[in-house]
Amino acid sequence: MRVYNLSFALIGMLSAIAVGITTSGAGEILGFPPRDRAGVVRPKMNQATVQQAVDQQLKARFDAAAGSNKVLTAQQASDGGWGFISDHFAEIDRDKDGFVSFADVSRFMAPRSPLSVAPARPAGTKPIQIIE
Amino acid sequence: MNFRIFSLSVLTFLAACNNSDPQVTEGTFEIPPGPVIVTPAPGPVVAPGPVPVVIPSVWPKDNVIEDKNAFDAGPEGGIELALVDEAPAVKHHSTTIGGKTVEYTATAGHLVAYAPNDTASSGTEGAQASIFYMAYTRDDLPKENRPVTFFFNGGPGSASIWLHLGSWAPKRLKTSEPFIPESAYTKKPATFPWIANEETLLDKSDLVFVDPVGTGYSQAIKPHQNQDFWGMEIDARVDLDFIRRYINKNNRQLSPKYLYGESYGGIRIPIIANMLETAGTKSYEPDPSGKKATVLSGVILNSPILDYDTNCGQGGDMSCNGFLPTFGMTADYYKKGTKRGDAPKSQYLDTLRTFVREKYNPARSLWYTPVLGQMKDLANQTEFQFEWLTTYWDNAADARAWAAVNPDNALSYGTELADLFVTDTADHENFINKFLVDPYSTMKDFAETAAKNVEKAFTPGWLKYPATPVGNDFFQDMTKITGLDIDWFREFELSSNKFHASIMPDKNLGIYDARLNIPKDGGYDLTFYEDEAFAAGIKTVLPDDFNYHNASEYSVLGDVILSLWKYERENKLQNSRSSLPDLVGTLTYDSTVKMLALHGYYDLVTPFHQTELDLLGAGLARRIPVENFEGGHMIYYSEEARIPAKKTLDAFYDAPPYTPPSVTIQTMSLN
Repeated sequence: MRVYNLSFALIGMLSAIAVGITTSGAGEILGFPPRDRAGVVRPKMNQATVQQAVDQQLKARFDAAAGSNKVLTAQQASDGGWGFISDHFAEIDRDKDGFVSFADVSRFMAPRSPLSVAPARPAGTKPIQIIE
Repeated sequence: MNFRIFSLSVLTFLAACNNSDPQVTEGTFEIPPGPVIVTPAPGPVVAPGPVPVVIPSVWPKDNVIEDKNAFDAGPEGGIELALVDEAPAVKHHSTTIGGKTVEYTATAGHLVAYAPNDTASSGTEGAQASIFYMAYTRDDLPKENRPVTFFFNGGPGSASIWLHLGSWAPKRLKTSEPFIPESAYTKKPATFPWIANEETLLDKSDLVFVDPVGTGYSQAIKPHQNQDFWGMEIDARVDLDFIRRYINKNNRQLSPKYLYGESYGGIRIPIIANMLETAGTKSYEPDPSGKKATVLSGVILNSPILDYDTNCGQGGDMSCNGFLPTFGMTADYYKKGTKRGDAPKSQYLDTLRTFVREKYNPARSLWYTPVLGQMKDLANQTEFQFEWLTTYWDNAADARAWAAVNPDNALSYGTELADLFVTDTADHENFINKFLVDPYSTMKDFAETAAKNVEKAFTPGWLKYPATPVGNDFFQDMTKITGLDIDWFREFELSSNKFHASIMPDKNLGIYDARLNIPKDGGYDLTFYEDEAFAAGIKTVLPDDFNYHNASEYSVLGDVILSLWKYERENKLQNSRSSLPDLVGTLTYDSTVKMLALHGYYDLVTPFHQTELDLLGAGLARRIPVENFEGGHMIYYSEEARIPAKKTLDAFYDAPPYTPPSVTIQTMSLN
C-alpha cells in the first residue's frame, strides 16, 4: 500500500487496511495532498503571491488563446474558451482595431483586482515564474 | 504635502455568535415510507411579490424512472453514452414553509457533461460523464429572477448526500446534534427522522445537489474512466460541464446562479467559479430571449479549506494558531477552559483572536526554527501512529505474535510507516527489519525518540522563555484557554489530534463537531456518527421523494477517490495547495459576485479562525465575510445553528450584487 499523506485520522484509517481491519469510514472526509519532496518550497499565500498567481494565470490564458500572434481577436478569445474577453472586447480594445494585446488585457484587468497590491503591469516582458 | 485619508465603511464580518437558548424546531412531521402517490397537477398558483401575478401551472408531470444502468464507482468505471437516458425522475410535492403552502418539483436523474474541447473526441464537444443530480425547483416562479444553487460536498470523493439530506432541502434528516441518545452510545444510529425542513432555502433558490464523478450514481462516459476526473482541475471542469448542461437544458441562463461547497468544496467551488467567469456569458448557450446570461451571482463556502499549507490538522511544518480558538471554544463547551469567565461568547471569541495575534504568534516566533518545525511534525505523527497501532495490540507480545504469523502484512505496514517517517535508506531498512519482529516496541521507541529530538532542537530563546514573566503568563493562559494543564513548554504547538484526544479523556469526541461525545468505554469512533443513517436515508428518499429507482448502490464516499486524487492544476501554473488565487481571479473577472464563508465553532478539521486568517492574509477579509455558528463542520446538523445560519443565508441571497464599500476621500493639507 502506498503512503497516504492525509489527515492524521485518515492515515490511521487507511493503515488499518494493512492489518486486515475493515474501515468503517464514510462521511465528509477531508483529504490532504501528498507531501512535497524535500527541498520543494511553496510560496506562502499572501496578497502579493495570490496576485502573482492570478497574473500568471492571465498571461498563460492569453498565450494559449493568442498562439504565436501575440494579439487576440474577439473571435479567438471566444473560441479559446475565454468568453470574458469577448464579452468585454469593446472596452479592452481601446484603439478599436479589432485586436487586443496582453498589455491591453492587463491594463483592463489590473484595476479590477479586489486586492490592494498592484497587479503585474504592462506585461509581456516579465518572465513567468512557475509556482511549483 | 497632500495626504489622502480613506475612510472606509466596511461590512461587519466576523463572528455572528449566538448566546441564546437552542432554537430547536420540534413538532414537525415525519414522512412514513409508502407507495408512490402521484399528485395531480394543481391549478394556477399566485407567485409571491408586491404585485400578485397569476402564473399558469407549469408543473412537470410525475415520472417514475426505473434506472437499469449499473453504477460502477471504481477507478476504471464508465458507461456507454448510448445507455445514458437524460429523462429525469420527477415527483411533485407540496409542503409548508413558514406557514405558507409551497409546491415544488423534486427531480433526479443524469445529465451528460459535455466538454467543449474534448481530446478523446478529436477536439470537438465530447461527452465526459453522466452526472447524477437531485433538484428541488419552484417551477411556478419566473426563471429569470429565480436563483438556482448548485451544491457540492467535498472529500474529495464525497457524494452530495450530507448537504442534500442534512442542510437546506425541503426535507431533512434530523440528527439533533450535538445531542446523542444513550441508545447511540455503543452503536451508530441506523436512522434519523426525515422531517419537513423549516429552514429550507427553497424560499430563496432552486436547489440542485450534484454528485461528482465516481460518487452517488455519477460515472464517466466511455472511453473516459472515472479516475480521469479525480483531480483538482479536471473535477472542477467536469462539474462545470454539468452545470452548463443543466442551465442550458432547463433554460436557466438568466437565473441568478449560486455555488455552495463544503469542506473540499472550498477548493472545488472557487476553481469552478473562476472557470465560469473566465468563460463569461459563453459559459452557456444564448438565451432564446436574446438577453445576456447571468454568469455567476454568489459563492457560499461551508467550512471550507482554502489553503492546505496553513491547516495544521494534516501535520506539517505550520502553525496551529488557526486551531487555538476552536480549542478554546471546545474547552469552554466542556467547562474545562477558565479564560472566558462571564464574558459573552462574542466577546470571548474576540479575546481568543486577539490572543492568537498578540500572544500566540509572538511565542511561536520565539519557538520556531525550520528544524524544530519538522521535528515537532515528526513527533506528532509518530505519536499518532503509535496510538493507532495500540488499537490493534496494547502490548508488545501480542504484536510480536501477530507479526510472526502475518509477515506479509507486517512488511506492508512497516514499509508504510517507514515510507512516512524515514528518509535515510539504511535507517528505512532497519526500521522495517525491527518492525517485522516487534512492531509495538519499534514504533514506541521511534515515537519516544522523535519526542526527545524536539526538545533537543529548542532555541535558546525558547529555553529561557518559561522563566520570563511573559512566558509564564503565556503558559498559564494556554492552560486557561485549552483546559489542558500540561507542560506547555514541551507541548507548545499542540496538534488538533492531541487536543482532541486529551480534552475529555473518558469520552470519544467527534472531530467534525467536538461537542459530540459518548463514553469511551464501549464507544466507537464518532467521526462518522451519521453515516449509516444517511446511507439508509438516501435509499428511501430517492424512490419515495423523487420516483427514482436504481438497484445499484448509491456511492456515498469513495476512499479510492481520496487516495488517487491528483492535487494538480493545469500546466502547474496555479498553486495546487490553495484556492485563494481562484477566489481573487473570480472577483477580478466579476467584482459583483457575492461571497460568504460559514463555519462552526467546534470543527476540528477546518477551524473557523484558519479561514479568517487565510482570507486576511490574502487581502480578502473585508471582501468575504466569515460567519460562525454554534455547530461543527456540518453546521446544519446542529439544531442551535440552523435558524441563525438560515438568517445569514437569507440575507446573503436577498443582498444585491456586491458593490465595494463607499470610499470617502478627504484631502488634507499638512505643512
